[in-house]
Amino acid sequence: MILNTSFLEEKSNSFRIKILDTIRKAGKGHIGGAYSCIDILTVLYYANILNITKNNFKDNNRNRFLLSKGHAAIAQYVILQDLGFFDKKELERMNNGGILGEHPDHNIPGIEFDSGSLGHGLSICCGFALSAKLDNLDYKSYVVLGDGECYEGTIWEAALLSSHLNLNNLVAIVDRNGLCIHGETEKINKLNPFSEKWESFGWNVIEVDGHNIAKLLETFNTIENSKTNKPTVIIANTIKGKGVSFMENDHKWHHGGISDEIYDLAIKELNGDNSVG
Amino acid sequence: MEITVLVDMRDAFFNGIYDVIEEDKNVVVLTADHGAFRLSEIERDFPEQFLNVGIAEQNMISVAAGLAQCGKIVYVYSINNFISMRSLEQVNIDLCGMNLHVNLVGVGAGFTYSTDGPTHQGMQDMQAMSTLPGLSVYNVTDDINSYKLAKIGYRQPGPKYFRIEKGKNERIYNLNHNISDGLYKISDSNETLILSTGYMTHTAINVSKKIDNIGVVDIYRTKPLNEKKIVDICRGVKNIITLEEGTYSGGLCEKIALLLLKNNINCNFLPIAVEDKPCYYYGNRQMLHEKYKIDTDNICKKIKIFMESR
Repeated sequence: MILNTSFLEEKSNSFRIKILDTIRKAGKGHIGGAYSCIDILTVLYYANILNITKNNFKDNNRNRFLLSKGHAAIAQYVILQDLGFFDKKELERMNNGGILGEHPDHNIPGIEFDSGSLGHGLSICCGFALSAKLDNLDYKSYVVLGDGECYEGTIWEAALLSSHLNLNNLVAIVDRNGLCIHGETEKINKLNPFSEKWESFGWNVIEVDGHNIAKLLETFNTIENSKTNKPTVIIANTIKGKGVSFMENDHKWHHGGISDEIYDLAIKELNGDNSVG
Repeated sequence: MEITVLVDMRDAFFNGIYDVIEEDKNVVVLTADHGAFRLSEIERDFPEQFLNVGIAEQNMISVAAGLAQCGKIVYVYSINNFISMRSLEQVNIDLCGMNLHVNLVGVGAGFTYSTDGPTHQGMQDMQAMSTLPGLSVYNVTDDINSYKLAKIGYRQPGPKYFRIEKGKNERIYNLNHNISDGLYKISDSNETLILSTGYMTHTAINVSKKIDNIGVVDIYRTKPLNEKKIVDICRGVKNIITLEEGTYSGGLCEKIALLLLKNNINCNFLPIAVEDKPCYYYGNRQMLHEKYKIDTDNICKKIKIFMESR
């Protein structure tokens, strides 16, 4: 694949458009959280990080990927469709009698594990990573968490165990958009100092701008070559609704429908017409 | 396995696991800091296949799910309330949803932990587990079926819940019993049959020694029930009694009643279980059984009143 940041940026933008189209047709969807993590997912899938293809998806030594914040599934769906895991007609009939719903399940080609209830993914990936160690396999396990998801106690149970077991083949990426359904994480129940919490749990912590493709690439490559014996967490500072100005940093765009009027405004922005909004 | 000497049922179960872990590197045992004598020998002899994850049962079950998704056959062990009800969602989504080969081994059936209060007493664990899709539920009766059930855990794929207990119950089974049956007709009667599960099967046997013409069937797999056999056994029997050390709600009694109704089995029906409220009374298991009127004498009284009223 082409490790070119502008290619990845264009790819990611095309996915934002596809997400908008799909949610409009589906009637509703989790657009805010999908837009906050789509740049991360694009880099993971298209920059030789995950190396997951429909041909190697059943291989024992494939890298594992789990979207633990399962409500952002649409961000993964548009990528899996683009990679040929399933036909685009499935996106067209999302939430309407096809294989795709609001949360990912393992019957969907390319989805590793059921997700949707928060707080499970890090533990499951801890199991993936432990299994790799037991079998002397060198695959890595990647999991994307929401920052609001980190209120779940199981995240910290898994964080403790993963560092205790020196699972340096485990990479968690926290989509730190700072917003839950009802507002800012720091006003609801503060997570900060967030990096320090992970550090104190024995993790290798890297903070990065989750929308800066070049920095994300650099970060993932650093991890790939790292000699750490710790699991790594990337705190990806992101913006909920990123890419559409009137959705950005507004928790009301966590979930909902897209009217024709909203669609027209959003699509203009995503197509690079800055005269709107 | 040594079969001449009665073994603690926990150790019997771990004897079964010991046999399979010895043969298969893919078997992994996780515990949430809960122990048993034989388990410590598994830890000693197979350290790479054993992990104490600390007191974090929900995490343990999802970690087990991850391991199983990668091809491992996993046993997870803790007190039964903590791996059943505390972790209900992890079991439901990560094990049942994914249909993974994970064996939940919970110790503390019924009033096993009689002085530890409702936090430790397994009154609703089987009931809660029975609601989950694709999960098989087993309740051990003695050391032999405990041992054999551990091996079912290895042989049969999919998620399972084993409700075991500590201590030594009188032996009912022998190694030749076909453990796939899910039940065992210990004694027969066309007049009255007690369908019981777990520890209460021993009480049922005592009751059958005190009242004439009572047969006893031990149901050690409460989900899925061996419906055909149960229907065959119950057809033509005048009185059917269910007996369990757990709540009525969601209990074996409800399952059997439904099964009998569905199959037009015409009989008198007496469910005996534990009322739906937490137990804040402390004593040995016998004292608690007396308190809740599920001891031999109280059950005999209930049955006599029941029969006289028919």
